[in-house]
Amino acid sequence: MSDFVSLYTALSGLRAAQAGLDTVTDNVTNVATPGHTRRRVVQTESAPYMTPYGPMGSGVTVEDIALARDEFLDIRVRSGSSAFGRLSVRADMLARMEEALAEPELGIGAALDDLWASFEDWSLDPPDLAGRNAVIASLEELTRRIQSVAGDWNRSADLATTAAVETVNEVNLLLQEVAELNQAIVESSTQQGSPAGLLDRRNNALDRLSELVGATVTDGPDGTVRVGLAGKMLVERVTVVPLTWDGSDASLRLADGTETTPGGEIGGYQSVIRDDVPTMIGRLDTFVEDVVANINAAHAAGYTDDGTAGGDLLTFASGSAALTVEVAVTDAADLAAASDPGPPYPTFDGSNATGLADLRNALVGAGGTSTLDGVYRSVVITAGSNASAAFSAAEAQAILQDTAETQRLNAHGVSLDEEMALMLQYQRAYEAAARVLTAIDEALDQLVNRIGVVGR
Amino acid sequence: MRVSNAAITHSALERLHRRMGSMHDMQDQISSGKRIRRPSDDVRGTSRVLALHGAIRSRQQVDRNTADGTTWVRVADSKLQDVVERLHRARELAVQGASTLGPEITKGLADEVAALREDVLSLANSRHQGRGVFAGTAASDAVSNVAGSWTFTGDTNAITRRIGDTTKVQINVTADEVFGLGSGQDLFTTLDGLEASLLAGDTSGANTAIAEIDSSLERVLGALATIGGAGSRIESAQIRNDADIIDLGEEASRIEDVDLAESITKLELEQAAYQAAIGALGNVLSASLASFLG
Repeated sequence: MSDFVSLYTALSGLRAAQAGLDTVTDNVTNVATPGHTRRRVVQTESAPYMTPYGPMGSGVTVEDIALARDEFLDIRVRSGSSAFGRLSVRADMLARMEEALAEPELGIGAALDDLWASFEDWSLDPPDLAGRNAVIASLEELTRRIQSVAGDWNRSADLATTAAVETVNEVNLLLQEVAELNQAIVESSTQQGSPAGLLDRRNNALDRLSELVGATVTDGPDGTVRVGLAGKMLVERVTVVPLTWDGSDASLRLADGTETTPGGEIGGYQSVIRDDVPTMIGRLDTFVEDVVANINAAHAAGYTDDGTAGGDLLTFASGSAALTVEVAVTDAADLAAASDPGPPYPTFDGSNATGLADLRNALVGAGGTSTLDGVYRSVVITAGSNASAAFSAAEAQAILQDTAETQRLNAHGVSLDEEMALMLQYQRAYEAAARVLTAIDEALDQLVNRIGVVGR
Repeated sequence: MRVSNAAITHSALERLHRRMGSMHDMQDQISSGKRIRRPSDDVRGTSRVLALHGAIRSRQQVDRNTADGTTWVRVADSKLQDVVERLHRARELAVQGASTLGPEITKGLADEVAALREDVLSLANSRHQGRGVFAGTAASDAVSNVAGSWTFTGDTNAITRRIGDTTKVQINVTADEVFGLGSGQDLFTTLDGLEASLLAGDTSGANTAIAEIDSSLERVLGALATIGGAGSRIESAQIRNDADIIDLGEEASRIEDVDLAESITKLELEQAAYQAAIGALGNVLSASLASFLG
């Protein structure tokens, strides 16, 4: 047996404790760094050597500085974050859409109530100019509110398009970043360096990709990852397939022009543009068409002061009725109050005005099953319950996401108490190893300098 | 179980945000006074509130309709009362004329009858807010003398006021039915006849006039009854309507308005929970093993 072996054994202890302390320092300083995964010193016993008395341990070997990463938790967070991105975007957009209605106080409902009342006021004193002008003003207010709601909903779709384009740009940058990190990780593992920092950065990018577009991640060769979307590869090693947003049909397309199905925030924007906005504007259009048809028909049943039948009060262009509805009558004299053309013209006959006011309670909307007010209420209910369902879904997903994220942070994150305990452990290990070194040194000193001087 | 500092901060912040969110929501409810500020706050409630607002608006219109109707009915009523008064006087004059009197006296009676006829004519053509009270919906006078014969020159259109959701009441009577124009003997021709009989000293003519005046009176009293009936229907509708407005308003308020006592209690609970959460977080974050290491 060589006495010098113990020196090396003690030295390995010093080195391991040093590595441990360095790791603790790194972890403690990065406690608040987003996406930082704590590092661990992986140490094993060194190979024993044979002595006449049997195998003797030869100290400790530091094998690796590893990341305490649980891939399963990553997958859980990412699958949830895609749904969370989609639901929260949709909840935001639907909230915006229902705000535009300004119900239950200042919306189309109140304007419609005012219109019925103005018809009835007019019927009380048919020739009165003030009453007639009030009818025209009420019609204008109603069309203004309808146009404002429909216009606002259209702007929601425009806003979603802008946001989708920006998000696609961000996704492309992230895909590029993942490809570059793949490259760097391959290079660093061949060069015996630790790619831990690179792995953390790549994980951050992958998290963001799943939240933005619902990208999925699979492991590739040499520590690289593949990024996929709906069965198509977006990143394979260092090759990137960039995405483009086609505003004409709100679709997400690969470089070769084929359409792909996005999840995450982009998926949310897409479903708002493709489904929610057109559906709601369609509902409003149906309501407006009902209102215009019935009011015009009721007005056409009457006669103006010169005995001509009532013309259209409201009109809309082809396309969206809600976006283009406007008042067709400008002259108060064109309002047809009477049901009788004369002559003599019944100046004080307001029965056609009463007929218009009676539309309030008439089942003329939705194919004769509901009042016009009722048709509008169903639009409000749809907007409200869509928004409310989207809020609850987003809220529920947020809680799930929160739980998954907390679990992942618990597994990956730095615990300062733990680091302090480890620090003490490494500190004491270092002191003890140093002490052993000194003891061996003293023993050797005894052997080298004191031997043969007995009795001098 | 392993707990990292990042996880503590993350979940604590997440929860604080949630608490802040619900506190903000409570505060928003209290300051706006509304429990429902957008449809998604309570979808069913919103629909109900919209329907109630519509119903209240409709009832407020009924309030205006009944006020307007009451005025018209009162005007018609007082004009008809005046007509009745004139007819009573005309009957007295006819009774006097039915006995043989001197020509000076009958001339005086005839003059008074002529004056009464003018009175009744002006009552028949009376206008309120520019509209003939007994002319239906026509702009012209209700009664005119066309080529020597008394003619109804208005129209027989009904004027109605809505006094309930769909209930309507007619608030006018037209001169043709009040004065018997166009059906047999009308009141004006009767008075013309009486005047002529008195001038001629024709006692039997005066006697005929008495019977004719009686049947005219019946017609006017009938019209008065119709108008009176409309008046009382409007009045009772008005009372019911006022009560409805209050009931509907209360119901809408129950659904859309904040129950202050409840909301403030909830807000205080939220605040207490928020403060507890902050306090707990403060304690957890400040405690560290590092403080105890030498």
